[in-house]
Amino acid sequence: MAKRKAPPAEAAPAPAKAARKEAGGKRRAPQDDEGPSTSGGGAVAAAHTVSGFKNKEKVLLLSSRGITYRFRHLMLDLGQLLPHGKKDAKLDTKSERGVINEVADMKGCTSVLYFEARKHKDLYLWVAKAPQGPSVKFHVTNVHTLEELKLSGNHLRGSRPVLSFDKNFDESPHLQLLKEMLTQVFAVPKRHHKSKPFFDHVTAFSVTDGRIWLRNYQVLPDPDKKRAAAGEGLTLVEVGPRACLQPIKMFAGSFGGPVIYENQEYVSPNTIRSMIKRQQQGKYVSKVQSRQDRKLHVAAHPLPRDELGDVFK
Amino acid sequence: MAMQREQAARGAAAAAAAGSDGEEEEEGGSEQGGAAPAQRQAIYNVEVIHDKLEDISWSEEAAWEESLALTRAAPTAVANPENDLERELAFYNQALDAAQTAIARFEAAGLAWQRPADYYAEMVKSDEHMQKVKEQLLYEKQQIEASDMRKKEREAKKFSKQVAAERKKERAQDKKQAITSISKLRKQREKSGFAGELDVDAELERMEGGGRGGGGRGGRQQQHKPGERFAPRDKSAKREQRDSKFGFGGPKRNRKQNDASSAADGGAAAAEAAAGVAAGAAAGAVEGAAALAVVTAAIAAALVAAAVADVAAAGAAAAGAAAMEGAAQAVFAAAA
Repeated sequence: MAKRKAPPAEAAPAPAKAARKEAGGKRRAPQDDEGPSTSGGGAVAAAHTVSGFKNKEKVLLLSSRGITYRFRHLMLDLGQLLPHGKKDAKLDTKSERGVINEVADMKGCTSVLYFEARKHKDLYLWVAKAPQGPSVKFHVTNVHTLEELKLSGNHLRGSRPVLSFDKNFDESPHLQLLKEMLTQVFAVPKRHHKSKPFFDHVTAFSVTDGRIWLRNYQVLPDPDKKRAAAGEGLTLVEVGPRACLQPIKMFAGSFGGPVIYENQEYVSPNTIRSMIKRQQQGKYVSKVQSRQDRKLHVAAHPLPRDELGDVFK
Repeated sequence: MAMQREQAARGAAAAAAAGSDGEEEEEGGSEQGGAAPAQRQAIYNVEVIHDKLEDISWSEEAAWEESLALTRAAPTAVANPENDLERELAFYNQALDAAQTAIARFEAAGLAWQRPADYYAEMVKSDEHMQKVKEQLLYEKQQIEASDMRKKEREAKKFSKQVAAERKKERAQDKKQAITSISKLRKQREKSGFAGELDVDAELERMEGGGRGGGGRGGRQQQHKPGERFAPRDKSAKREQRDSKFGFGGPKRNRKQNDASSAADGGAAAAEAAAGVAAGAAAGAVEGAAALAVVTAAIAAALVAAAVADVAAAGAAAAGAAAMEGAAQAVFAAAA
């Protein structure tokens, strides 16, 4: 479990933190970045210490009561993507979320994906690191599940994905934290007993319009072995599921604790619905108002008497 | 009253944003001013974010093979997020880039990453589901093909008359050419006194210089398409005229003219038909040109006479015009 860093590596974070502070809050300088499209792995490995760390994350998947079919299928589909995930029964309460930490402890999970459904209409996704870690609440929209016939790809169940992150994730501190949390949740551990050996699919996270877009693609290499090895003729077919996550708030603790980030552009779906209703309401109110105004206007401005008015009786 | 309600709504929205979800809040932010509650700054505590990141982070320090996470060198820029195609294309390109980088790294490390063709294992989607997907794709393809075929047929119907007329002309020409070539051959042999063996095909080819391959056919025999029982025979002019007048229910005089397809091309077909008729008349009416000139003059004279007549007798003039039109049509038909 990745709760504590291994002792030999502890010396590394202190200068790293100082370097980060110097760099004005950015995570690391651009040339230290992990996945440049041009260079190979050699130069990158020299830039940071490679500890003997082993990924042993486990993810707890659970939902609240009142979840509908589409969101339930999304949860199950994500469960299929994560062989290191464990499903649990529905959570009864929506107010006491701290219980989830205990459930995670019982199951031995380090991360939690909690699908909170409200009003049978809105889905909120909590991504949390179980005992003490930070947690994020997302508003989920544009959900497409694996059942969609238009998403025609397929891949091995449990194969380890390559996670593709947008460069925008390195631009702000809260996105850096989100990137780390998403990596820890979605990266399948190497020696997991349910994982499959080959490289089959790519899970992509992009930041656009203040939201995080999740896409999952199957990798189809060229049938010709030599071209496939060179990486030419590679095609991707979308497998699903698809979702659009808008971060609402980030908390220092797991399902509680002080707020460390708040999204200014977030408008809750309730507010949107009430605004729409008010607009509709406004139509009737303005109609009544205009009728009254007309009456007043007619009363205040009587027509002048027409001299020829009674010529034709 | 409407104004009050709007203000209330705005206040409610601000209050909702301020105290949403009932979570605890600390004003320990680094970007915090002494703002009024309605316009409070959103919390963004960079210090604590970095601390938390340090606490949990292992993916940067561990080997790449543990997380397989790649970050693209350039940001994924989408100009208009509402444009679905553009946005999905940007995501696709990002994923493709990552896949190519990953393959390069796997190859460099010598890891086997390609799934062999005989490796059977459980997939994320079941075989039944993939069958449904395949059927859906085939169905869509069929729909597209069917609609294309329908469009092509509609277009072809307009040109079928033209095509038929051209084919008839071609057949007449072939027949004429065949007859003349045979008679020439006969005359040649007469001159040379019927010497030697007669090999019709070779002689004809020699005469035409190998131009036309169908010189062997002659007379009324026509080539017909395989599958047709009877060869199409040439019809006499009289037969064709009768056919056009009475054959297959007669000409479409009072049929509906305005239907979906004619409305769709807005008079283009009608213009073409008129042009075709005019062209046909011009092409075949060399003999009738003189007669045409006479008739045109007659029409002009009649129009002048009509113009001179009384305004009240416009009806009679109109009837006269219709009669003249009928005469003109008869001339065209005879000339064609």
